[in-house]
Amino acid sequence: MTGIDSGRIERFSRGEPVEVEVAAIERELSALWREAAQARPISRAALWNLIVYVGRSASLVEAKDLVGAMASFVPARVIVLSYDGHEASGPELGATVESNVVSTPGGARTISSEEITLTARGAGVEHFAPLARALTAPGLPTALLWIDDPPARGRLMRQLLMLSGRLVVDTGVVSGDGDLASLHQLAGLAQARVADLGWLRLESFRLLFAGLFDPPVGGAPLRAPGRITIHHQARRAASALLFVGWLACQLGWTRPEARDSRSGDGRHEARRFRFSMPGGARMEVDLVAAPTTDGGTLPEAAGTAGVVAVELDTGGAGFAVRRTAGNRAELCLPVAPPRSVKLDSRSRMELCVEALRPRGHDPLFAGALAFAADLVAASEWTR
Amino acid sequence: MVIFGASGDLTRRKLLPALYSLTRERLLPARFAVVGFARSRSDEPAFRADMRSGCEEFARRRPVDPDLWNTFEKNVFYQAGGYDDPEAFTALRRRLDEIEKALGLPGNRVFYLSTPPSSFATIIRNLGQAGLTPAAERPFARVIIEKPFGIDLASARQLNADIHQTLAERQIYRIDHYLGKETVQNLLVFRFANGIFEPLWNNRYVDHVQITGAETVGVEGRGAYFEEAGILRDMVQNHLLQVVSLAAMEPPIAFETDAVRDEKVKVLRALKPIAPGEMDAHVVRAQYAGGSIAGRRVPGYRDEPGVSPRSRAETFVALKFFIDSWRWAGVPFYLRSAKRMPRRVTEIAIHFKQAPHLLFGKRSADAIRPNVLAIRIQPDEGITLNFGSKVPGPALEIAPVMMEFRYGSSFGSEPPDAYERLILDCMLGDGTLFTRADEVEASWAWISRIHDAWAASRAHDLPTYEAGNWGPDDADDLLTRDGRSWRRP
Repeated sequence: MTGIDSGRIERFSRGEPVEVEVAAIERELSALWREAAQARPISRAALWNLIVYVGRSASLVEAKDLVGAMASFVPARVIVLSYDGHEASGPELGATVESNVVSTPGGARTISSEEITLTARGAGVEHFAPLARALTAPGLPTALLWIDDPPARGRLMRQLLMLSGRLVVDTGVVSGDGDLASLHQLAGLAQARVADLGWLRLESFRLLFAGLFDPPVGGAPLRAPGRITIHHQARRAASALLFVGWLACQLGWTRPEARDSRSGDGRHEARRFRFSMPGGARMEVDLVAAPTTDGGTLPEAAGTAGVVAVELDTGGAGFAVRRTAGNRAELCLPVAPPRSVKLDSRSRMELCVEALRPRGHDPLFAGALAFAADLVAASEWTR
Repeated sequence: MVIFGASGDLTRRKLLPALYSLTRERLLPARFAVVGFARSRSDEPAFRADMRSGCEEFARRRPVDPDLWNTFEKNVFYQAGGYDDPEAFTALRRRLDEIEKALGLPGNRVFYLSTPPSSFATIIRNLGQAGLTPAAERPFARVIIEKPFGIDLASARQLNADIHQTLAERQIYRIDHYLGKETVQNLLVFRFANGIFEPLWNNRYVDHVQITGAETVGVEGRGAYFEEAGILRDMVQNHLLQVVSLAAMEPPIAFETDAVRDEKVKVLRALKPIAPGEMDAHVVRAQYAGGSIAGRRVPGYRDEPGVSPRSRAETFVALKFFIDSWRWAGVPFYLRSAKRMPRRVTEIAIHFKQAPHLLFGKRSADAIRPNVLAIRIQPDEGITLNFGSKVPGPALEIAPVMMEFRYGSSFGSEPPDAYERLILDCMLGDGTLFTRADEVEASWAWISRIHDAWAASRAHDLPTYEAGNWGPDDADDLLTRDGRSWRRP
């Protein structure tokens, strides 16, 4: 007999969190599964170890909902690490376990995976990495989801990266240039492959822009001297910088000269970079932060991708992809009337699932990130 | 059964609970007696009470059945005496004769030596002088000897020579509780009762083998002992080399004591010695520093009671070695053992070679990992096999998946404790899961070379690793140099 009361087993079976001793998580989890299996047959599945870092306790519920929803697509042993540096009371370290139960169509069978949540305050955070090392299931790849905050270069991140084969970040939440540079440094340190939700969101925008130069137009306009203007959400320049990085890698641009400028009303900000292209022509790229609405909110059309519009002007001929309402984009070419297409509207959960698939790690991202980090460095140098 | 060192922790935690469980499973004869022998001046009621509390705490099936215990404890006795006092052994003999007469026992005797190793030879000599070790088959006298059996090759040889003056080899049962674990025994069944694995169990298909013996505990108050032993003596020479020998041995001609031992000792003799000049490339040792285990801060090794602040005893060792045989030529074995690791686990992982030709493109090739067969010895005894599988959907994506067998889920109950199995085997006269004199000496011969090289080393300080970590960076380098990495067990 394990001595586990039936109420705990019931709560666990329903997918509700059950408090456990930190020192006995694995043992209690095994006992709960064993007891729960007495009531009905249980199929357990796990394809990943998923370590989810939550840097603000306010985000914990959202993060747990996210991994709960992901269980249908990616059964995993989830280890949620929730730290609140501001929480003054409560135990330094606590743990709960729960099951994520997914019913197959028709409900004939259920598949369960498990979720361990560790909450820490103060010095309790020091225990996160050793506990994560102890709790990751053997034989499975490990991914670190660090998506609610910009990736930090701290000790915890380094320790967790040592465990992980994949780092999932979201440059959609990055507000400062420094965060992008940090991410680039982390990507260099880690053996982990980096998947970026922001990059995945940008995918449809990149494809639409590249599609403007499909035949009969061809790539000549991209090799001619000109100017590209990228409009992005204020305080969300990371996507725009990654977009430039992608263009630069694909088109063989050299490292930039940079110049910053700021408009008079202080509501929007612009940066200009000049690049040399193969063949010697110059391309100027302007990053322009879109003005916020009067209430200070972001334009609805921006969605969460950061980039609002990309325009290429090659001395009269204009090409553009512009976000419009209803998560659509308007495509403009000199040779055809504008047309409207649907943009990618994957949810954050779907993007996280994608980030864990082989396609989630896009080799182009590494090059774009390195180039974007160079742009950040050039910007800082000219400030 | 007479237990020497009856007042020690092992008796309370393992031996009596094992005997109680065997009784509960009706595996012991109805007429059976246990005599605890120790230097402490205790008495039978106190000894019985202590053993009952041990069973309440550590027996496999709890709570203890009161009716069963009442019957069981009537056959539990205590005899105080010094291990070096011949009179005490004469008194023991008289006591055994009385108990056997009173209970109608046939005179079969097992002596369990759970004492400091320095007492082994003395106790056996005194047993012999008291006439307690006749070589007859019936009634029999057998002696179980706990580890460590010697501290190096010379001392192991001396101990063998000493005890052989009193006992025949067939009377000696050198216990290594790892060999009593179900999965260790299952390793032989897995290899030799299934047709599909043995053909792959060689250098043609195996890329390398990893063996991990990790503990989360530190020295647990045994600092003074560990200062002398170190992890190489404490874990590797006995438990882990036994595991190596079972994993690497050739098929025995029969599942019989000497047939199995003959094959095991061949493996131990075929361990390629690590030359003094190769130590740095093949051996990594380290000590744990302070850190975090299971959510609590723990001190570093040198801050443990009984440990010198300048200690050079290793709490972590990683080894790369080869077995000079046709089967294993060129296959590296990587072994690591340590205290204060993130999790307690002992496993053997057979890493197979990559498929010779990758059909599915570069992107898929990145996702294809070599197959790994992992045999978990403790905890959660079982076997897993990792392989690549296509992810459902239109794209050809490959993900690693795992097939798993666990004793607990497949057979509906946890396997018996290792001591239960081994004590029972000794009573039945089956020495297959015990180590023979030549096995002990062969493993010491290999290990002692490493100790000799360390003794000659000019290195003053050992590297450290944070408690709760998988060891020092040097241990990772041991594999990284070969284009491999440690499996996370």
